[in-house]
Amino acid sequence: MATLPSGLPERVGDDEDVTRFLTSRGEFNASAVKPRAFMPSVATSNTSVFRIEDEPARIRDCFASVERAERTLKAAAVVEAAAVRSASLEIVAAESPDAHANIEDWPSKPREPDTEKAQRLEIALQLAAAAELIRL
Amino acid sequence: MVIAEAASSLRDEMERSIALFGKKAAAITELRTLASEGAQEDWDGEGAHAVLPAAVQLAEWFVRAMPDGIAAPEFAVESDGHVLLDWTASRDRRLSLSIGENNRLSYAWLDGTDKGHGVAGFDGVSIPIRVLTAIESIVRNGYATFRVA
Repeated sequence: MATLPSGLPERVGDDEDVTRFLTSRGEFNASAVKPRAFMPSVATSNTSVFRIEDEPARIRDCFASVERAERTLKAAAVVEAAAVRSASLEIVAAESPDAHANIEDWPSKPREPDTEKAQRLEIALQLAAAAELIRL
Repeated sequence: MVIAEAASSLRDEMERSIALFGKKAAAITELRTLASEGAQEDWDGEGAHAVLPAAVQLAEWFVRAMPDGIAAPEFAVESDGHVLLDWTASRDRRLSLSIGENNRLSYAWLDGTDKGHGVAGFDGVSIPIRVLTAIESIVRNGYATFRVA
């Protein structure tokens, strides 16, 4: 299997955990990850994640190495790649930076933006329910 | 005696209204605080639009239009500047509703293995019955509510 500059395999395995950095209060509450955490970026239509596991120190280090916008890392959402794929999305390695990946294939209905949003919310709810919240 | 009973009833109703409004006022304050955090372009570092003032206004009207006994939502600002209202009863029982700058509400729910989504209109005064029913079905058990004991 082909490997990336980071040494990770090119294909994100189903049993891999991927981590979403949470920098806004609206992305989680005291006990749970909220769907906002996984909704795709309006700029890219993807959700940016990192192929790192749920070790807080590793999460902090990874965030510090890639953050350019002076955001504060408040928490992280960790979800297994299999849960992403079972929600009809794909997760694709996208280095650099090292270990970066994108959650892709979100529903797209340019002529029906309200329906598109509702469909994306339904999927984001599934991902949030499957995710583990890591308080940092 | 009749006057005393009427006065007592009026006092009880006033106290109940103050308590209810207090819960809604707290929710609206939280909404405005969160909106202020998303007031700049690219506030999330991923190219987000600034929160839309019209979306914040509609979200506030939505909260004010909620009937007694329905839990206050949590709020989030979305990447497209819309406002997201979340009700989380448990890990797999939750509903999210997105409010933009028009009168269309996009919403989705997860209830165990059941899930779905929909779009409904909102006139700023009355919450569509199917949206209300969906929220009630998620929060009816064990969720902190506006109801006064």
